[in-house]
Amino acid sequence: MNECNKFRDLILTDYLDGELDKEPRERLEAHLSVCPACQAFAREAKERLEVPFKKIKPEKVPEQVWRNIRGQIEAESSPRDFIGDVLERVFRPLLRPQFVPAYIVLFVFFFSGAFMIHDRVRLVKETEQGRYLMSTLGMGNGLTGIENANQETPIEEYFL
Amino acid sequence: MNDIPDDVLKKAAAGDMESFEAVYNILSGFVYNVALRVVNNRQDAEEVTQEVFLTMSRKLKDFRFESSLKTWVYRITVNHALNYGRKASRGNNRSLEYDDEIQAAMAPNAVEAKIEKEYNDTVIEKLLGAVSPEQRACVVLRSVEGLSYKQIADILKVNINTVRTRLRRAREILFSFRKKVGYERV
Repeated sequence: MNECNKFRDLILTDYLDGELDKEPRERLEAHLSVCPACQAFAREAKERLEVPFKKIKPEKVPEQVWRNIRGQIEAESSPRDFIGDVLERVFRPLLRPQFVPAYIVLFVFFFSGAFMIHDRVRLVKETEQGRYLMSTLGMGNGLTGIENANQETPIEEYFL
Repeated sequence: MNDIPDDVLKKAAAGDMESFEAVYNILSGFVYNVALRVVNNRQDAEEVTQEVFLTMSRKLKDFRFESSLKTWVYRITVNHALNYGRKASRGNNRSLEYDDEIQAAMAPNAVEAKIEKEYNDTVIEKLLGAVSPEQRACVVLRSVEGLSYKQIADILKVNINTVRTRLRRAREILFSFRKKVGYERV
């Protein structure tokens, strides 16, 4: 019986599919000639596992399949979509929930930096304006007396 | 699969739509029918066919023309179909329904109402649905497409003994399944 099981494994694969080499095939056929149970098994295997698949008729491909393929290829090859695809490929990986804390830190860092720069610019402008006003009103220009000694404003020059 | 002239393939690879349509006309029937048997569902087979040709349109330029187009197309088709088959297998365990379904298909009035082809198709669909997608791919490539074990192993990129094992297990299931429901008509 154990021998029959081994032969049945072969019947279900190589024998049924014609893949068995000459020597093992002859051994199997010798066994089949003396074992009616395995002979019936081989016959049934052929009828049940081979014949139905041979009866399969190819089916026609529905027409919309080509229309969909063509439409998709044309959409992919258009330049606008190509740019869109590239942008999407670049930015889509960055749109993830786990990146939100990092974006918040970056946002705060960026705006606090921008605010500090703006404040500094304002201070510099105010200082320059102050110097100008002081110099126009003859109150010095914010420079020390030594620095100012050899510098005269146009108004001073006029009056002098 | 019919041979496709190299110049048509090269033009198709370069993006010529008419040539690609010619390639489609030659290959689509075989791609669709292999997909249909592996995914065992017409709607999924249409989607697999679309994906196969979209993949081909993108990768045809990388295809080495000295290698076998047939093996390449079989491989793309079976890979896409197996992905669909696995998704479907995860979604529902249909094997529980098979006894009822096949017995319903065997009911005398149902048999009388269908022509033989439809009847055979129904039974084939039920039978192929009883095995795993990987086993189904081997059965389809061997029993429907008539490929050798070596060709199947090349397409699936597995050992030839893996092909043997999958076929044996699938056929044990199909054999006992048909015997259990006493199906003698096909």
